[in-house]
Amino acid sequence: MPRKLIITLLLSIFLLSSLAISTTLVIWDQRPQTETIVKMFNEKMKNEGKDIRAKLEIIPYDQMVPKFMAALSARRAPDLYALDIIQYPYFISIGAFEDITEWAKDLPFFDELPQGMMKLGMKDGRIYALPFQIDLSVLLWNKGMFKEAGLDPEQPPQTWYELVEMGKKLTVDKDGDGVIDQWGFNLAGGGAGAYMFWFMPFIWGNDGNMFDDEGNVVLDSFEAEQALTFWRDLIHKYKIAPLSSVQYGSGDRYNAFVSGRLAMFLGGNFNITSLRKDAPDLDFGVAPIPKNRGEFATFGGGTLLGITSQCNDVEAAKEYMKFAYSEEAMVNAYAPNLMLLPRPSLYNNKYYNEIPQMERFAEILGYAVTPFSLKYNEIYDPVLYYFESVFLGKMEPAEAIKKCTEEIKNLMSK
Amino acid sequence: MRQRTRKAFLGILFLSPALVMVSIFFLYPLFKVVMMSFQKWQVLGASEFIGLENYKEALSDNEFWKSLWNTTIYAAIVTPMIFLPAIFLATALKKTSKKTKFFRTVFFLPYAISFVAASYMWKWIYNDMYGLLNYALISMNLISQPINWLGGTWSARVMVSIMVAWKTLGFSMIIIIAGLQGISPAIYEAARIDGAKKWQEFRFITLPLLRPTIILALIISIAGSFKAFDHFYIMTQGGPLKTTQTIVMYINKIAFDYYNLGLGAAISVIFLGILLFISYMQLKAGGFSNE
Amino acid sequence: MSKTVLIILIIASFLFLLAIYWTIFTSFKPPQEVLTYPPRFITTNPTLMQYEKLFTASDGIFLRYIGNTFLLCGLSIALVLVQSIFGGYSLSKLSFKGSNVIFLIILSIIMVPYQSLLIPLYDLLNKMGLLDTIPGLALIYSTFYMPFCLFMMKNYFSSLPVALRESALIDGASELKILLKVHLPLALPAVATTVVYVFLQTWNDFILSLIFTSSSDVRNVQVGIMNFATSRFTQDWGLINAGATFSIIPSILIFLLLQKYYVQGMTSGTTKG
Repeated sequence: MPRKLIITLLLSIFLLSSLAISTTLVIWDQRPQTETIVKMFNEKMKNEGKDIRAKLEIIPYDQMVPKFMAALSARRAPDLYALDIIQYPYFISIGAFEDITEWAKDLPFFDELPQGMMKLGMKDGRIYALPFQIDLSVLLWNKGMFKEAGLDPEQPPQTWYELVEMGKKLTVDKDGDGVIDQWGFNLAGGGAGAYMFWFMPFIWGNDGNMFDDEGNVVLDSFEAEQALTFWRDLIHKYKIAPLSSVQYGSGDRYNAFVSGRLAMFLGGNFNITSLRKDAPDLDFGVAPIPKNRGEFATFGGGTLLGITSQCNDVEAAKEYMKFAYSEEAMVNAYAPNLMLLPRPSLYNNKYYNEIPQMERFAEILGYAVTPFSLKYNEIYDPVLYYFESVFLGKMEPAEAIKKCTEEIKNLMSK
Repeated sequence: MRQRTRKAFLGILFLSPALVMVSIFFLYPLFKVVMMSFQKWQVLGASEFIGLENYKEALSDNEFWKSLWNTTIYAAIVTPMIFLPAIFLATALKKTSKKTKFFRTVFFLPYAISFVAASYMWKWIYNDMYGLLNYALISMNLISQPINWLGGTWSARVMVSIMVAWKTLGFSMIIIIAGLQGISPAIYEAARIDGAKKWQEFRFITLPLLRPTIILALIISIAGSFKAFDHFYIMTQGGPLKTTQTIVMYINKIAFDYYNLGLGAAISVIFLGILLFISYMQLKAGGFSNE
Repeated sequence: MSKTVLIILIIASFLFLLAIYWTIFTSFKPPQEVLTYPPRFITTNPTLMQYEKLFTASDGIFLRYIGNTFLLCGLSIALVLVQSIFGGYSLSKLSFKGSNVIFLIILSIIMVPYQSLLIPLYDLLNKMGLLDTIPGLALIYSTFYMPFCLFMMKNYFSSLPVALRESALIDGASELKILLKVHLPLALPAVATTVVYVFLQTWNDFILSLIFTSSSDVRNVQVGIMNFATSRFTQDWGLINAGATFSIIPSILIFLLLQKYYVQGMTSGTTKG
């Protein structure tokens, strides 16, 4: 009897004391590299004697939205979420994230965060999330192929005109069997996301846009139409890209580039690590996407980090967030994998400095644009359908632009 | 008396594991999906009753009809691709011997693997840059340029169907073999004595007697075609231009990409109705033959 | 069979197996030899590199997927066996007034595709806290794979002589004992069919694992292959073919070893009764 009593007492003391280890922050992220930050944070908390611990849950890309929806409705949302940037407007509008305006503005690094991307974490001037992991769309080119074609390997095309001229020289039938073995260019396909990430910069670079600053649809413009025509002509008129590339996903183009069948490749910062591993002898360069009558533009993709409205300990969450943005966290977790940091001041780190191709990214980050829409997922549909129709040569650009704009306007008004 | 009630009690007890599962994970969801189809679901907040609005929206949605059409066309293409070879093979392999057992195994083998594995297998063969099919056809001078098989609407439908036929005809073949083995040889002998030729035997004896079996195999196969998801999701993602997006893919998109659960539920109910209708019609068609 | 038919069969078999062979062959090629045109039919250095990649990428996540899937299979098989054996016996030997109705309800599951119930099932699992868990997924699998197996067990039990049960009853045995010690040992072929059927269905499932799970502690092999194949940046065909090859090994093995039961079960289940 007394033994049982002692055991129960000890157990209750143990349980009560474990209650004192108050906060476990649940963090959702797509990138496994965040584990490093979490570990470092937990170490730091331990050393500082604070009862805050972080726990990371990796969310696959296809579950990013549904899982969050399910968790929100069951009131089991995580404390922090590194969610894809384009999803934020919708989720902020339904109250899923915490207002962190004053605290964010006081952060020492606040001013260097890319403003174009910051907008997507804001509503009515209030801030709910900050740019976190960055993905930018860029043009990569095979320097060896440029040399072979008699072009300057250090001069990538900067304009549409140059893209076509160089592309023609780079599209070759090497063995004379009537089948082209090396293409100058590939379109980007495999989903509307690809069009947004790689084709929108062509519209932006032509001084056009999908939405204006107030969120109105302005796709119905000569500039956008010209961009659509240009992409279609790359296949059908200038013949520097194969018809099948309309459906080429990121992986297909990557395979073509790596196996020496493609000279210029629409990719992103995320290709650099694998390129160096899969094709160590392939000397390649990174440049902004060619422009026409506008300025250089790139799609500001990636994630924002926000504290959800179902977080029970916002102060602890802020502590984690501040740490996640620190130089020690960012450089040690993300820079080794050549992931882009949201703080340009940190770009001069030892990992980036080893890779010559990383140089241009600080500049390219300055060109980043991110479309803002509450119905981003829904507009994928008309964008995919009408743009693909044009590229396949099944619809005239003027008609496609008009119909696409109409449908987007319809969706926005629902 | 007590024996009987005891027996009944045990009967219910033994059936209870299945009953519990069925009630929770089948009957309740079946009831729930109908309820949800009449509601508008929000992520945060209560759901409200909106009557037939979801149904109206579904039936007036272009993409719904497109998905239905895609699925129907696919079923129409793949079913003969499955059954014509299946009937031929079943007839050739109906007698059981070492030889036929070997062939039966070969043709049934693809049925055991997953649709995911099969889809990637064939996607690799159909690859426009490095695929086996283009290489074979170009080497045989049947085509001069590599073809992006999964990139065109009809070619995608046909090529995916070829993969599905490869994967599932073994199953129909086995069912038909069982049906063939159930036909008494005496009937054939009698016909032969009467001077019937092989094709006459096939047309007037085999086919009619095989009807119920074929109908059954058809129901299973066509129902399966309407449920198509895995292979289109992996091989074409519904493209090009959404011409290979099936009904189940559409439900998945509405419910889990747009999180419009009410609309998704309505479409699910319509989908269920269509499937039950198809099965019913086929059963009826089979029933007529028995007269 | 005639010579022509035999030749057709041989050619067809060859073509049939070619697809499987090509994937297996590609999985043993080094990366440089995968993305080649014309495709290489003889490899100068066969290698296990793709498999190494498969099992070590992302901290060995694929191994976790394999473990998850085996767990799922085991749990589903157990759940289905319990429902089918007891339920099949009840319907066969212990029928009562409502038996037939219950039987029809269970059979109706075969007519109702789970694809039409994804939404309420998702909501149900979410509310039960079983979303993204192995038991949650197994419960759904076993509900939908059970009707066919229960039907089969019922038929099998019914085909055994009635005297078996009657004489055991006279000997004073309990119903439970009669089922487990007398009938079950004689129904092993049906049990084998059930095991093979549930294993293959669970191992090969894609859509349920895709929609109802997200974490690497729960997701299965099929979704795992898709994850590798649709990593947003690369499409590593060597890796994909290795994954596909690996995934078909248990399927083919189990099928070949137990095909007698599987095929028999499928046909008796559809043509009898």
